[in-house]
Amino acid sequence: MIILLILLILTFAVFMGWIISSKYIKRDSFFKSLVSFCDTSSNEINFLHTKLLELIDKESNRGDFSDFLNLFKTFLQTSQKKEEFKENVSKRFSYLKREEVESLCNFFCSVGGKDIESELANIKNYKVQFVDIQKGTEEEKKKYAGLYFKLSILMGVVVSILII
Amino acid sequence: MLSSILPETVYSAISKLPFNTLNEIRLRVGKKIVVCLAGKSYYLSANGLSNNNEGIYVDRQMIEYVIKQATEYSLYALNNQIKQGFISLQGGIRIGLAGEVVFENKILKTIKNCSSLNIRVPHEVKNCSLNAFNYILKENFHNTLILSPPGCGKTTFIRDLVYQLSNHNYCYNVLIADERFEIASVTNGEPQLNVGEFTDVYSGCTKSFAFENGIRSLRPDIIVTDEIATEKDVEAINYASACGVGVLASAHCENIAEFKRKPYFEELIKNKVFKRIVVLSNKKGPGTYEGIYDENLSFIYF
Repeated sequence: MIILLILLILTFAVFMGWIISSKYIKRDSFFKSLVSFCDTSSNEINFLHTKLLELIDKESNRGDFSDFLNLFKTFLQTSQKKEEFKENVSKRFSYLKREEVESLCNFFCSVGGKDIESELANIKNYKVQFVDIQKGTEEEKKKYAGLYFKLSILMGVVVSILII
Repeated sequence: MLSSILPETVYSAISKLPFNTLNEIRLRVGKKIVVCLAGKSYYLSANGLSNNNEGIYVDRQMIEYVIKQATEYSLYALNNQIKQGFISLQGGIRIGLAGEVVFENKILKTIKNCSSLNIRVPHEVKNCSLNAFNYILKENFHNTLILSPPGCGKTTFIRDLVYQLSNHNYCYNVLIADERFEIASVTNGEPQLNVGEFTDVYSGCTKSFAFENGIRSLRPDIIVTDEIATEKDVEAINYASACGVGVLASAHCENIAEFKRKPYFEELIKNKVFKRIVVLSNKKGPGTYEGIYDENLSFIYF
């Protein structure tokens, strides 16, 4: 019985560790995809005048970021209000901070309504912000993702020892 | 295509009209929607056409909605067209824009805050050029100019004539210089309107670019273009004619007398560049023949 309980506690600890560390991994991967999207869209807009919906479709296998783009596509096609879009993003991507959601939505709502030069300048400006955030998320990932995973396993082991 | 750019209420009203005769839908902020059917204008109401009292009013949101839908939320992709005052869409539909023109350092940047849209719906009128066909193609192709006021079927005539060339098995290589996407209406590299089997299309470029580069690289027998109006256009036509390439073009003119008075056209008349001049009007509907003239501007068909 005790062995079963210990196994259960250890599994729970691993699971909790995975959940906490995945938050950092997801954040980092999301912002990496976002920065890469800025690069791709700059090139595509500059050289090929690729339309926004085509750009979104080209980014269909980037995990969470693709889900975000799909939310944005729905926002465009259903003429949702910006506040509603922000709320949906906050709900779906709980690992994003409030100010991150704000600048993310502001950026996407500003894409598509200008001439090429202004569009490229706009993307460049926002990219600087996103690169800063991404550097932060990368550091956080390095620092905390592994740490919290190990800590929660350690916690599980400690609780198990206490039970024994 | 109209269903994807118009608000639902407007599209449902439009769908009650006979589509074959629908030429234009005009949206002006604060005014009622006007539709042009077979050359005549009417107000649009939820039930179709209306008298003066009822009609669907246009607001700024409606204009913005149409532009967003037409540009697929990507104004930048079509800004070169917008700068020229239009957006061309699938199926040959063209939206003319009026609004605030933005200049920066004397360079035209864009048109913003659009207050009016004119959605023009093209129709292929098969065989509309047949009456003139035998005059234009007597043994060889004669350089031809189509004259008419706006909305009288010049582009439709040109498109049909190009189609007839391949339909009558004249294997002429035709190059269309489609500056405003009106003749072939190429979208995603594919002509949306039937321009025959032996046709190449340059879209969205100036006539001089299409004429010079086209003659060098595509070896056309005939170059087709719409709405010549400037000195540069005339130069491009002279260049093609001097290279031995046939020219089919159109211009805004009500009649031959007005044609003679137009600046830049003197040289074309003097050099007898155009061997045939077809004059169209709207008298019995778009595409009514007013006459066909030879290079001496003498009547040869009425």
